[in-house]
Amino acid sequence: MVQMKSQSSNLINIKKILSIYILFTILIVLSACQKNEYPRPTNAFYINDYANILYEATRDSIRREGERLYENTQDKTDGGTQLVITTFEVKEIDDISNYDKTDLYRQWRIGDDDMGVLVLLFFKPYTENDIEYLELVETQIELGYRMEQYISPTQLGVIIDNTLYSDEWDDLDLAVMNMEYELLSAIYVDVYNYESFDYSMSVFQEYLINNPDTSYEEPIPMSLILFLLSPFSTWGEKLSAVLPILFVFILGGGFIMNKGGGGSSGGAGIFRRRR
Amino acid sequence: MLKTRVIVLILLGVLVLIVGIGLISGYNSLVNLDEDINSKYSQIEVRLQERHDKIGQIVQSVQGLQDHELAVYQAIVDARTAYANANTQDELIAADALEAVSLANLLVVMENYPSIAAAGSYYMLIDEVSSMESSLAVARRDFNEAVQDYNASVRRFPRVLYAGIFGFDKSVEYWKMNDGADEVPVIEFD
Repeated sequence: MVQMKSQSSNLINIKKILSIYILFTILIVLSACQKNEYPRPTNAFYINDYANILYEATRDSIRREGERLYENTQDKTDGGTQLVITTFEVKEIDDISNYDKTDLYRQWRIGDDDMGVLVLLFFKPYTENDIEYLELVETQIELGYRMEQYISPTQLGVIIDNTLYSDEWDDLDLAVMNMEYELLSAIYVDVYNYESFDYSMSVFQEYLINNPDTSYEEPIPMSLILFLLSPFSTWGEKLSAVLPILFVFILGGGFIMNKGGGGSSGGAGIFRRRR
Repeated sequence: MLKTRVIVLILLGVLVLIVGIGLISGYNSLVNLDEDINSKYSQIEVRLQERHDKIGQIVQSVQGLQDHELAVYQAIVDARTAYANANTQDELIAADALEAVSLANLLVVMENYPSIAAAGSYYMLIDEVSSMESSLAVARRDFNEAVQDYNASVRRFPRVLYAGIFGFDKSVEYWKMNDGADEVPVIEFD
């Protein structure tokens, strides 16, 4: 009788501990959700194409240029500049007010010692001949605190007008890449005193034509996860699927995983809206 | 008897230690919150000074308007004077609001003059102004968040006691702006 009582009290204790544990887990998840009101940056970090509007070739070029800029400037005075481009799709123009460029910059912690530039491109859907397209409706740029002393809002405005809003490009990928190159040029020349930053839009255009893929390359494909969880595949099959990836991961230095340098910003930058 | 005395002394020692640690940590925490407010306040001051200087440049760059839009110019002059004479936080807040409104009015007036609005320099000006206003809005928000943290902290127990003991302010005033006075202008393109 005494043993039964002790067993039932043990069960009650375990239940209590479990319910407290579940409550804590829910609270932690909820508080994490509340904190992350914006999406986390992608592993590529320098390009976050949430509107899914750019070609893979463009995304890849922006990522490579972003990585190069960060590596090239890390050892310099006011170094470690990060240039990040992000696209968002909004249903209505009013929805843009849900995004605060300063909050996003601070959450993603762009640039070492506040040396960063964040470009936000907002797209709105429209329908023509029963086909849905996206159009660029607003551009916002946020400068890191320390970057403010090197690049002025006027300079940013001129760059945006001559690239993104220029009639020269009827293709969004070309316009975005032209903007990326011009921003890089401003950073290399005005911040780090490079003599010049040379680039060729025709070379990029050719690269774009030869790489028309639009799909994202997931670091770990969903199909692989499903395969590993599947009860129909044997342990041997699962191991043979995972081992080559682990081999590449260990020898190749891992998957691409860029992240912010810890920077902050104070609202300086520009806003451009297309009527 | 001796044993009881030792236990009481130990308990008293532990109590003093706990209270001491609590006091030190509470004091340090209040100092950090207070310093955060000071740092955010100086950030606003820097941004206000930047705007004050920029308005001077803007007024100089559109001298021709002066004869036609005297009221707008007078408002700018008044706002700049109010800023220059501001000594307290309340006076600074009032001058901030005056400068924001007078600057917005100047931009509206400039837009009505096609010769000015069509010039590229007008858009450059808007870029500078919108960046400036955006920075100020962020600085005000950061300051108010720091004030909110401080005010909430000094009202909670036991910090309400520490605040009284160490002479910290019971609450700090927020940076309150009139509705619409801190709106950031956005350039629109055809």
